[in-house]
Amino acid sequence: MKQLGSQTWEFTNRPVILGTSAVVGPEEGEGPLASTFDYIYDSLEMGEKTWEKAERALFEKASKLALMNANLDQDKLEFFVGGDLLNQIISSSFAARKLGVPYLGVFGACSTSMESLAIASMIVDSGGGKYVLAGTSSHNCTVEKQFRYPTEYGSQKPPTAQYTVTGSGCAVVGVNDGTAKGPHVIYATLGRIMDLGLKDPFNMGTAMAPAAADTITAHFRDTGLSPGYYDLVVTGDLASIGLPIAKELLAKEGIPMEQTVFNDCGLMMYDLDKQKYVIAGGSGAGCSATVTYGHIIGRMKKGELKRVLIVATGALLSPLSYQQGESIPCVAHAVALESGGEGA
Amino acid sequence: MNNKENLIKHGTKGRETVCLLPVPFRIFVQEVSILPAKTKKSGVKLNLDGLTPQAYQELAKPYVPSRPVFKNCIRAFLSGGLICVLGQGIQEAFMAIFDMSSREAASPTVAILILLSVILTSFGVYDKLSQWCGAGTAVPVTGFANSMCSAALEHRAEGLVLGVGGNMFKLAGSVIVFGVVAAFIVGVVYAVMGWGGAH
Repeated sequence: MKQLGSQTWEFTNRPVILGTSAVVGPEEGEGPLASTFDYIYDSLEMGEKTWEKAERALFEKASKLALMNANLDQDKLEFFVGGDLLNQIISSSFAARKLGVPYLGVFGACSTSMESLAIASMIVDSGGGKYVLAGTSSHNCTVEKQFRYPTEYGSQKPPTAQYTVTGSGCAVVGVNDGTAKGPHVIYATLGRIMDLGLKDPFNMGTAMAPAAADTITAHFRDTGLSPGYYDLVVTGDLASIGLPIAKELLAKEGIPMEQTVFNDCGLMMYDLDKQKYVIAGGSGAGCSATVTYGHIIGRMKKGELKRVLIVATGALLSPLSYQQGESIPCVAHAVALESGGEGA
Repeated sequence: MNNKENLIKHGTKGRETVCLLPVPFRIFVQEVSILPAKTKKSGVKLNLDGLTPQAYQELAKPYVPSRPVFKNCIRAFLSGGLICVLGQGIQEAFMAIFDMSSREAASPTVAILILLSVILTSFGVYDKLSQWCGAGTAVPVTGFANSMCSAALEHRAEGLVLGVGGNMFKLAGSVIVFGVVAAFIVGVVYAVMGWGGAH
């Protein structure tokens, strides 16, 4: 592994994503990507008594399925890197009880998906472990309960609001021993905090757009590549308001994003015309995780995509911080994937 | 000291911030007043580095749809009005059927509206209605009932005492606090002006 520029890691041993899983809730199951998910729950409760237990169940299901898809015995798994949006990241820590391996809890709000994948890839690439699980989750109701109002409370959301995805995505990153099949992790660009003074927790897309633009710019600056190198560049959850702003910021930096397909997981997850309740689009750590580990990895395996850059964006606010009138610090972490030859 | 000499300007695309501090503090101010911090190491300066919060909010403005205030007002008027008509209907029914005066009928009318609101909240309907209705479902007594019922349901998982008991007034509490404060002020005004006594 080596450092490129100031923010990017190049994984010279090219760790392999052996298997992934995407488990979602009922609303995501009504969206256009339904067929790409491994498991769709038909109720938000998932047969559990509390929302927190439901999110944990989601995470446990996803980690189990990822190991199954990777064809890896749970005994062989060596490390688990995970995080979620709840206070003290309880979903991932409690799900880690069932895995019984050394665990690193990480928090990057909705950017946790790529943060955990970058760290897992670093562990594998540097020889710190052979098989590492990276994963994250979010649940619409736990997030509403913690960050906003009780789930059944009738408040009118503004047209900039986004809908937290109920879903969990996990990936097993393994050492590239020549026989391992799956997409390779080639770069990770870690983002720095961008805070441009936005305070509205119902307008996260606008708050996060500069962080996404900054990390994308840093990625191309550090690697010397141009957007055309990738078949697809996706942001995590900028949704219908943040994505065009990020496009304008990138145009100002002189990054020719028109060379590639530039989309957003929050827009891909739902059918915005039919699923009106999502308003501006999806958000949450589970959004970029399930779209990446379900839809995007699936397309890479089919050979439709060769190289992809995923830029997961996170708004690092807490209910306390915005009630105290603080602005929202945001971060974005990017991971570049490349399909690993035929059949991968 | 000549303040003019100490003036420094650091340009940030179209905006100029003037710093009036003495020399030793200048560098410090320059570094913290621009968000985010400059790109270290690489030496390449991005346009984003010089973007001020004001300039960014100006740039983002055309993309951010504002709340449709007029439409929301119309919807709130219709839906809130409908709830009031329903309440009036219930009150008239009490008066006609049970031979109550309008004052006597008021309390059972409110109780029925609260019950309806709690039932709709429990079935997960009220929050969906309120996305359309806005203030129309928030302002009447049904909105107050919804705020208490939703909080009680949500925090049942944390037990009856710490969960339901401790959180039931999480949202409704401020209505009660400021209602009491407002009533106190009005009461003081009445007492001072000598308007009271009309029971």
